[in-house]
Amino acid sequence: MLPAHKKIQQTNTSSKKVMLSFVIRDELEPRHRAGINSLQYDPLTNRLYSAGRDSIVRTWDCKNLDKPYLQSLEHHTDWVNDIILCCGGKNLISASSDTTVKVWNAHKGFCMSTLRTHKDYVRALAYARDLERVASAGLDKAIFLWDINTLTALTASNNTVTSHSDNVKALIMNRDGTQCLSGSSDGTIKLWSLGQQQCMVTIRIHKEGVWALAAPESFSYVISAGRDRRIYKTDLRNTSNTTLITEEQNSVLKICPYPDFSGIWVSTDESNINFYSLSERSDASEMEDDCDLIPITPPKATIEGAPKIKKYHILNDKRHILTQDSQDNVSMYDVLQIKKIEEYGTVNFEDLVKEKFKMMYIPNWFSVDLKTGEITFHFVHYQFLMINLGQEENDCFSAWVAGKDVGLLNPPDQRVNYGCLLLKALLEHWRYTVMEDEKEEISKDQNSGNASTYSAIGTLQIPQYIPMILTEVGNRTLYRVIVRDCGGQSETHILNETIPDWIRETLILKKSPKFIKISFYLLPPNELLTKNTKKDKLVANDFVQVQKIIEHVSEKLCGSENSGTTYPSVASNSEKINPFVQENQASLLESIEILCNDQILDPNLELRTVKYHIWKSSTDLTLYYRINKCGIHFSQKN
Amino acid sequence: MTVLQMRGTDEETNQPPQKKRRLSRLQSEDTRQSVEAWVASVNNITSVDRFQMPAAPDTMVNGYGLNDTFQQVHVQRSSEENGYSDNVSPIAPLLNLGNTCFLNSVLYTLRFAPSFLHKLHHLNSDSVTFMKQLNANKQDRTYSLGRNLGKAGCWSSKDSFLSVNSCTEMKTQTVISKLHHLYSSLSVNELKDRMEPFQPNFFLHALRDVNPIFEGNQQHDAHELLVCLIDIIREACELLYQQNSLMERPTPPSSTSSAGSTLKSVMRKSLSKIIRSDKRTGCLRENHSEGDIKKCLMNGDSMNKEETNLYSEEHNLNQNTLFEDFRGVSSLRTTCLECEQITERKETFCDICVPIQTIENYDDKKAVDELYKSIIVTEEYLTNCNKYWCEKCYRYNEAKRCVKYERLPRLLTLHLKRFSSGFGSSVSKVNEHMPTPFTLSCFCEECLEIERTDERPHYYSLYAIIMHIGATIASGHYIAYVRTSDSTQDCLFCTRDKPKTSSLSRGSSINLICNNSSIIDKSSTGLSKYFCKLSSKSFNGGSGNSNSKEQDVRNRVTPTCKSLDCCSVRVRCISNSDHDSNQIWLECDDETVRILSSQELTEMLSPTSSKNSALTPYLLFYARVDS
Repeated sequence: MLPAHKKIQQTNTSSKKVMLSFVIRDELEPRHRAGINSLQYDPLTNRLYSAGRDSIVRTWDCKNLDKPYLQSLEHHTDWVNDIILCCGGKNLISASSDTTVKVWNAHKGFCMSTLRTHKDYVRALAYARDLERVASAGLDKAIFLWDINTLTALTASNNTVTSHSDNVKALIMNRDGTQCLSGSSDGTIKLWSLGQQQCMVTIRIHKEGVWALAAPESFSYVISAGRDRRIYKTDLRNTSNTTLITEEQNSVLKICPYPDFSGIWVSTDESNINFYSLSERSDASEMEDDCDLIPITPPKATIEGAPKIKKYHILNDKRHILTQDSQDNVSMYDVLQIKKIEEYGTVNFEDLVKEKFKMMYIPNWFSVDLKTGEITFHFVHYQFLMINLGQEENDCFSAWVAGKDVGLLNPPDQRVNYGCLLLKALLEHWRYTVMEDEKEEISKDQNSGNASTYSAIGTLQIPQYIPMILTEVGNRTLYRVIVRDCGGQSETHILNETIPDWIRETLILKKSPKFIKISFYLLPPNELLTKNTKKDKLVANDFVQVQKIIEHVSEKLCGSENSGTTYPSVASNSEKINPFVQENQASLLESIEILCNDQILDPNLELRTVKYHIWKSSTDLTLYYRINKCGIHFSQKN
Repeated sequence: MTVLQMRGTDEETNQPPQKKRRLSRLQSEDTRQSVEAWVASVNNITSVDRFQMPAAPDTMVNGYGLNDTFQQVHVQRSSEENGYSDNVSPIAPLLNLGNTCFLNSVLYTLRFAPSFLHKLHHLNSDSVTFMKQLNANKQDRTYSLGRNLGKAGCWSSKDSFLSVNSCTEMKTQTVISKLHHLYSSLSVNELKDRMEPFQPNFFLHALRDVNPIFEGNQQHDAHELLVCLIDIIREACELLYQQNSLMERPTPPSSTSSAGSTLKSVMRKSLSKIIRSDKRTGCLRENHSEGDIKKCLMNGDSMNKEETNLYSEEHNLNQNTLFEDFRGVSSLRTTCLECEQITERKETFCDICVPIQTIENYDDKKAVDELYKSIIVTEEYLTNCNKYWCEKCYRYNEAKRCVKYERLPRLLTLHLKRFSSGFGSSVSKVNEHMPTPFTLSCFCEECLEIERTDERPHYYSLYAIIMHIGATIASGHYIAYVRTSDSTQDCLFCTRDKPKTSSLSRGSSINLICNNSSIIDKSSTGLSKYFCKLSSKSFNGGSGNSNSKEQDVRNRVTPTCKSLDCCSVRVRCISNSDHDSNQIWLECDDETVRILSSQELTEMLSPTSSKNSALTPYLLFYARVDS
């Protein structure tokens, strides 16, 4: 398996790249963060199961609504779109946008199996109780039928689901299967007779899409809700008889009734789950649609959710992130520590961003995702891409920083790579198997004496409960594992198979990633960039400081040890300058100024900062040097 | 048999090509066979060389050669069917200056666009008056301020935006006036019965000034020219409108309430954006102009009310300008299928690009309507790898994207995609047949909501087709087919040029385009031959006063604007019961113009004939008609 497997990965450059991600979160997340797509109620245990957009299915105790949280079923990596309780409440089936369908032990709360047949988001599940079969349907236009007991796919059928002109988002069937109710995005609810294959009644009360339906088995009435936030109860025998139960604060995604319909649990696209009582309603007054005074019944009980992050801003040091959540609280997170480091309360986000501005530039080495309501960081590395500053490419290994900035104990001038550090910390526990050809390379390296530059550096301290996810770029999740569990046998095995080359090279072969280079022109004052001067293009690492360029210029002016070319235009002046220089070389260093776009540069600035913040263009950086004879030199700001 | 022509530079002294007369009398069977053989061979031509007409005006012989052949074909048919003397053209023709059939076909088309000439006339006179005023102001300013204002760019902040573009503005204005002058000359030619072809070189030079793409003697894309012209018209209209509101002059009938600085700034922004883009691209190639009006979010069905109001105000104020006739608004709506949020982007367009699609039952009106509707008003789903980034959900979701037409222009142009994009590279032409309906049901949003087509408030009627024969866009030949219409209604009640009592003689006399009862009285000379016996019911006869003199005066005082005399089309036609007054079709092939019956045209547009001839409809022109 091992060498052959590696070869396939190498030659398959067109196959999808694997990226590594993790989520910044607490160890225990007892509350939903984002909306809740689906609810299931188990009357036997009086438990409510909720499928969250934060990828977690949670279990709640309905008997004890003060502290209802029971457990979290965490394994999905993207929105959980639908859940079904089956086998008398023993098993829970979940369908997620990470393209998988998972089967859980509902009572104990662990994942028993993952079904990976879908190629796109899996959006809906349907349950045939008497047969113990579940159907899963997804955006890849495929419907798979599963036998729960054996967990085998009964028919891997590719049914093309013809798309309705108005999407049908809610569908329920009565007990005998003779009728069904559908709620559509055009706001109508239709009652269908399946025997006659036609629509019997159309209910038009909602102004926007109907996303949730609930009806007792007798189909005597229907409770409907959707994008317009209102929950209506309509008598199916006399459809003009409509009651407004209440109006939610957000669009309603799912209604889960108690079997006796004494009350309904309602989930929305925010994280609270509300319970409304139905039996206490005494009036059946008809409500007009445009009545402004709608008495909004508050929920009888609420399972509170947590706020979700709505906005983020990555600071220029590419390490700290400012976020604002749905309750307007602003916080700061640190990528390298993988945790929240500060909370600011409800301050103005834009102002804080401006306040935290620092004149520096580090390339983008990660990307951020907010789809689960928390921050997910994604890291990827493309080996064959030329990385140029100013492009939007995110290269995990592009952030080279001075060691002292990271707070590691090592020589202060040594450069460290953020990506390498982080990967090393995340996969610390992984006992990787070194493959055959890797062994060769390592021994080669050791023989030639190319010791890695960073193996001597300390390791970052990160929380051990962080979940790490390996995904194919473009959505399919390959594996999810907690940092501290990487050492386990099965985990190690799976990691061996899934970890991509670009991580292996850095961790196992200890190959130091390349420095990012910037090319630029350094011209004497007032000289234009012509074909002649263009030959003298210089290249330097992007983190080189302007001070180094000043030193370079002074060397050139002195015409000293470097046998490289001296600047033609300077040569003519060298006779004049030389005597001056020989007397006072130190002061020459101080009187040289480097300019970019007619702005004098602080010697402490890094080249990449100059290119990004001052030059700002994608053409080659052009710097000019001059000698400030007056002796007034740039005062260095720290 | 070709005769070299010595063309004088003076447009007035052009001699009609002698050979045309000789060839037009050829009616022998031999000639017809050879012609048909030639036409058949034309269809098989793949090399472009045959149609290349490289040259300077001096070597027009080649150009003539091509036209020559076509003339044989067309005249052949017409001389049999129509009994008119074929040395007289029904309207004043245009001369081909060397690969300028693209220009001529567009000029013919615009001439017959309903109300175009009338509005052009007023646009021109307004612009001219305005330019005079500007120059006068400029001089005043120079004197009063006493500074050296040599450069055109030294304006005060009030006219600051002018400073950048005053040269462009002059050039634009020149094009408009040259165009008007061209039509005016054609009208004069018709009036004086001078049917020799008119040389549009002044206009062409002015056009080349604005857009250097048309330099040289290359053949060009008629659509490109049309787009360029409409853009010039737009600039002229907008400048005029801007100046009206700035200068606070008495305004034309469309009201210019000072809609606040926001409206002006919106227009200025769009104007400057468009001007900048013009300079960059030279000419608008795509069918959507760069006027991205608004991007607004729609939640459910409620539009962002503020923005609609601003938008519709801008649109209402410009109702009557020439550019508005060509301008439509399309909206691209994307609906995230998860959260159902709708994001909309509106764009203006001046023509719609239509991909070619053949159908079996091309003469079934309903099917053709459906066909056009389905390929123009489109819908697609963004799925699989092409998902849509929804800002509300923070993720990629499936979405539905549709293109709808909020407002269709009064003069609708359909550009058939006969060539793949990639100007300059050798692309093959799509010769497949596409039905060309004489009437088209409207597909604007309002109309689409009304199920039954006959209950819709308006529909579109074909008034011109530009057909193309040849292998690529840049070579080949264009022929325009236009339908005449009665344009006097526009002029009759136009109050722009109120007749003063002293000038009752010419300005208020009524000229009518001939109807099918024979009007042309060749024996009479000068103006009077265009008078027709007026029936009293066509005018407000007055209140029972039987004094005929008074009635006469009243008749003459009915407001008429000068455009009627100046630049309107005077079609000479022979009384022929086959010709319905509104259905006179003319085939305009550079200098050769002849009358077609609508049956003939229908035949030409049918798929059977398109296999034999290589003429394919390329640009379709429709005018809105209220039903």
